Amino acid sequence: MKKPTREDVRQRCSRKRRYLTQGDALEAAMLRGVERQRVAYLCPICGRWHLASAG
Amino acid sequence: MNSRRAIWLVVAGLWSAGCARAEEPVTFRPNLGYELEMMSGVLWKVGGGATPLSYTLVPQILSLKIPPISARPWAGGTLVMRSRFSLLMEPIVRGPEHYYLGLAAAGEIEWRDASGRFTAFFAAGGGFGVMDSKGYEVVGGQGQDFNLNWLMHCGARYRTGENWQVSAGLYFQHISNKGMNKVNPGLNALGPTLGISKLF
Repeated sequence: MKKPTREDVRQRCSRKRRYLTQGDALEAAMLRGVERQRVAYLCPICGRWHLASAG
Repeated sequence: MNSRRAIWLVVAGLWSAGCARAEEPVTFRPNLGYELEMMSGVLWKVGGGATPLSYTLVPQILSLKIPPISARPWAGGTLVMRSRFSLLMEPIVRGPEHYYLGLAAAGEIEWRDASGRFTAFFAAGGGFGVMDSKGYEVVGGQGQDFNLNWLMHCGARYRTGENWQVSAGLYFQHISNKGMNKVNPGLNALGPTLGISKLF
């Protein structure tokens, strides 16, 4: 697998909030009332969970 | 007679009845055979990084316990190790899913007092099961029907007769699909149980 560039890492990981578990990520989305607009995914770079737009 | 004096009389009466009972010789046979236990309880979702949704489960658990694999004297009683195999029938009365049906196996360690009347126990184990998963319809629901489970259960049993016991305990259960599905928030639940068991 190609090593991600610094900009890739920033876009896909470091600029996003990290969550320890999928449940924590979903809870954060629910607290903000955006659970329908977000999906939780496991980040291959940091191994934690992030939220991304569902569409 | 004032009410305080009446309370003291009741307490004294119960105490003396307890003393009289304690002096009665107890001759229970050692519980070294199979045991069938029916347990009921209520579990509420607890945190631990699992689903943010509220869940309430009402587990009905039928367990078969096999004869002890080890029994040794300890702390004035007997320390016993045995296995139990359980059928988990768990209606979900609060939460997006409606039921969880599964099997679990657990190792159990028991301490029995010298009379054989009182037992303290701790069990831990795991298994698998199915549910009507709703994770793709409700955010925070479980992602697939087939799930794994693990459990911890501790409590006490009281032998009411030669072949019968009642129990009360605290039960923790985790359910998740171990990443087999990308939707896997998991469910941690904790609550009290009551049970009755027949010794064979």
